[in-house]
Amino acid sequence: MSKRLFIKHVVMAGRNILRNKRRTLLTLMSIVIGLIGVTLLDGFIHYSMWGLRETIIKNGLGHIQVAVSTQYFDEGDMDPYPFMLKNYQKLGKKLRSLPEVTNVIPVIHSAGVLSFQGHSETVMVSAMPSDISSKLLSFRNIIKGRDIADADNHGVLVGEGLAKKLGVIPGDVLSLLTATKGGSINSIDLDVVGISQSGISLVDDSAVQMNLNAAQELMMVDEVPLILVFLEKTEQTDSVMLQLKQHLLPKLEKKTSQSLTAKPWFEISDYYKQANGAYSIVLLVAKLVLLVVTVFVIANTMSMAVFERMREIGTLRALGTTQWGIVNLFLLEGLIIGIVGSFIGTLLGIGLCDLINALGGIKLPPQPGMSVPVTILFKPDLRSLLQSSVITVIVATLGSMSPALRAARSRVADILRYV
Amino acid sequence: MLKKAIVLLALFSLGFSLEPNEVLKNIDGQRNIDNLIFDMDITAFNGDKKIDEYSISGFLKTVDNANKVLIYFTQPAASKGRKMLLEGNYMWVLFPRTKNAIRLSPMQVLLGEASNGDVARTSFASDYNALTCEGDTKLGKSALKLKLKAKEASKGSTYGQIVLWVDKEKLLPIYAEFYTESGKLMKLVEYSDNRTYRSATYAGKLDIHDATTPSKHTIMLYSKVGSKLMPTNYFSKEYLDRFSLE
Amino acid sequence: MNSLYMAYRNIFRNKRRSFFTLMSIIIGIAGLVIFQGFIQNQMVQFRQSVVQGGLGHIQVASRSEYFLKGEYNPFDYILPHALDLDHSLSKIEHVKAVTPMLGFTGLAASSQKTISLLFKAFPVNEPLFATQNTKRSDPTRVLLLGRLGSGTQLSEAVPNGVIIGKKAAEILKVNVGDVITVMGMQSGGGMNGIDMQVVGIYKGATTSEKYFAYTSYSLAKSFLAVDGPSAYLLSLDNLCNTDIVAQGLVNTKYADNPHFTVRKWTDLAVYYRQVNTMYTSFLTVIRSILLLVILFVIVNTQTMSVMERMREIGTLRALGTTRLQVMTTFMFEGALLGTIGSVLGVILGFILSWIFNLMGGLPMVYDGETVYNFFTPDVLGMFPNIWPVILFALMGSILPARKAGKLLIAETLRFI
Repeated sequence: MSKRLFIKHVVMAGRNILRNKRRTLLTLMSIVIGLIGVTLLDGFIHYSMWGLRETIIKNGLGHIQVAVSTQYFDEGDMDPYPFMLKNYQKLGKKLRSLPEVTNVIPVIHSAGVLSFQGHSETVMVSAMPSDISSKLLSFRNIIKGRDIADADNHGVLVGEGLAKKLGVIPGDVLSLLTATKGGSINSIDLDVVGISQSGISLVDDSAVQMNLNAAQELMMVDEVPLILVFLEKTEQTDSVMLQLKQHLLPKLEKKTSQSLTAKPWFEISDYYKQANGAYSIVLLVAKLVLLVVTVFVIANTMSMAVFERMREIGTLRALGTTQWGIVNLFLLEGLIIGIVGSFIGTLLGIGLCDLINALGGIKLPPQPGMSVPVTILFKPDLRSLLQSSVITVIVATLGSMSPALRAARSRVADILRYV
Repeated sequence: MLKKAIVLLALFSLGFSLEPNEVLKNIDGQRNIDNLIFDMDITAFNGDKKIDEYSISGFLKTVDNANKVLIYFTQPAASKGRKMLLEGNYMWVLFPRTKNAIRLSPMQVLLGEASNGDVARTSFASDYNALTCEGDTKLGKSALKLKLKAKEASKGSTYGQIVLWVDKEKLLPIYAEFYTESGKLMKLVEYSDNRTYRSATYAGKLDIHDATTPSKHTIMLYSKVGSKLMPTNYFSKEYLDRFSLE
Repeated sequence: MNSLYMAYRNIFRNKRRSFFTLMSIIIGIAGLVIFQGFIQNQMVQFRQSVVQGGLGHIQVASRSEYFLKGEYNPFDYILPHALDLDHSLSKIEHVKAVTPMLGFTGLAASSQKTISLLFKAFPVNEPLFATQNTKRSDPTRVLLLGRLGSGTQLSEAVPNGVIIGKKAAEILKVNVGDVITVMGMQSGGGMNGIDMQVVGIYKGATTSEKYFAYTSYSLAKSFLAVDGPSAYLLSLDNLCNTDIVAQGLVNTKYADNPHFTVRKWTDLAVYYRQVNTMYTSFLTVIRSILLLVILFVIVNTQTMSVMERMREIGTLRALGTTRLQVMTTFMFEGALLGTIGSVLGVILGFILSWIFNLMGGLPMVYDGETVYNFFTPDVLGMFPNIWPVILFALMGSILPARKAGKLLIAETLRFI
């Protein structure tokens, strides 16, 4: 088809659209509504997934964890001594030098025996510097008492189940025993500052959190086995992992003469894998259902519009328009309406998301793992919106095909008689 | 006897300003039997109730300045045939009719009754420095009180600090308190029933009290003591399977 | 009445338009029904996994303290066999199976390494894990603790069999067929050590794989030197009978055991309430969005429909029909379309759900694994879907009808 003819067709489609404003509005609105719905759903989906990720990362995982070997991640929490990082402060500084890295937290995880008034329990100890951690780990859930502050050198947070087993409340003094690096026994008295809850019973029944300095004093080490790296944006995880693996870690390995390895948060967190799985399936089905409904509604509306123009089609055919010409006409009309509708729909959808967010979001009861009510905000992701828009445009373009094709193929006389 | 004479002389010549580490060396010197072979009865009590009772045969050897202990359970029938190897801070346990020896880390040793073994085999002079030495009375006897602190490089010391009371004249341990590095009291030990074997004098009975659970205490009684040269390779995890009392 | 009849006839008069409007409503509602059915099925499956995951419907123990401290430290909580509890428990109405359990902690050593493990022991006649062949979850199973990656279930053929997690097997450097030595405490305070043969390796969350191991109840009894379980797991014929049976147990007086404690799975699964909330909140948000789309489409369509019939309205008015009658007719049309559409939509939704279920579930590929989704919509839950549709169909018709009503007859006749 020549260019001039093409433009002619486009103009014709455009004029048809504008000719019957009411009908156009009907089809346009159905597209717009469909896309608003998809945008809202998308916003909800992305916010939920984002919320899940951030909770996990800020609950003590960090974006990336650095240790001496992958073996550490398997065995190091029971006995970290074989896995100590040499010169961890220097390592931390060097890691901080990457532009995406916002913070670096040295951590010790180890086992110990916690005693209170004659009762002892084996516990898992997590120790980090209290000054940074309380700012970064904003998702840590304290159900009684308060979080460890800078001043609490000998403060400890006790998991909910563990606190019940031992019968402790904030204010009590506990004794923690552990084996030191040299193999001797050491102990420290700790003040219960607060009771924490993570929702994961294995953790809450056996976890305590304390200050790094106190732990190093107790264990008689001045090193740590693990460094948590926090990034500006979670999406940067993959690129930073690449940088670490290819450049920074090999360099640091030579400089500090030890092996180093890094693991991203999604490989470490069991909870994420399970929760993500559950969330993803639900949200996938939701999207599928909405998409099917929307697609159908658009096709439906457009088909209805075509049926109403049967006489028009008949006239055109009688005047000599080819079958292909008819089909072409509706394709173009559909395309134009589709593009316009997607555009408007997406914009309105994003606008609605912003509006809801500005109004404070939708409040829902607590999610698993948290005891604080959750506010649902909408975070539309442009890439998936683009996908949806493209699908919509395609549907709109092809939406009128069924009746249009039928009309194109029928005898002119039959069409003209169509009521 | 000769050793004792020297010590006494030292005491008189220097008045009462005794160099603590010297005293310590002498204490240990008296107690230690090289290539020790022994039989021991161990009874654990909770209050007055016996909660556990067993007998063992053991071998102690000093290898590279560290004590290694090989143990074979002889009584009761349920425990008979169980073998243990105490090596530095770790402990290996091999149960009869099983394939693999179980390795207990210092933490796990700490949690169990085996921590008493650490107390029994403490070698004061090689693992500790004596900080002070002064006169005191303990359990009705006049004694010397020594404050001991674990040596940095020591591989065998489970307890960071020890307060040891020895008989003022005989320089034999009467009582000891075992503390963690940070100063928390963990065990209290009463030494009694001193016996001699060749040139050494040792406490035949140790009554070890758990400081955190005062009702719990364990009595360790040597029923036989001797000396027998055992090859060094016997004191390894790999040999544990083959080890048996000939 | 007249208006209603008119409405009814109007609908049939313009079959095409009615058809298309109806179709939008039907498909929209069917989609909603399917989604709701999906979520409800997810919740049912989740409940099932919680119950089969080792909690049972109800657990009974000698004291409430067991549930706090005794799960892996059973010596103070043993229910002696002399009580013959399993017999009396199995006689209770709705109780399908009574499973004795023991839990203990121990050190497990291979020739390479020693690790700490938490053991749970069940009678071997109950298969504990799903195998490669188990495709659909079976609600009648008593236990489903995970999936076996390799090896077989516990059986009488290997009395000292043990099933460990994949991570633990990696750390220990053992495979199916290898022997691990387990050391643990016995009642009375002494230590015991025996060999256990790895008969199976299971896959699950990495943390579970590292710490949890499973062996036979009879082996555990002899290992721990006890003669009874630390708790009984009761499986009922139906989840909804949990409360009744639990209440009945609480009321029964067990004279030998005055502190006898009963716990429902809802008490024990702290997590359950929160996951339930998550599903419900997802359902609410997504349902709202879906409903919103459907409703606006209806309004849209109805508005257009009215606009197109301006001439008709004009004619009617010219013939003497009052504004109110016109409005009412349109209202009823909307209401009728809405009702028929939503009811048909619900029916279609149920039929599609039924078809998907018969197919063996709707397959979807997620993370390399194909998941089969089932749908169990709940009839009562559908009413909140229907009435908004009718309402909006109504509204969608009234507003433009009102506007039309206000116009002068002449203007309406001129309306294109």
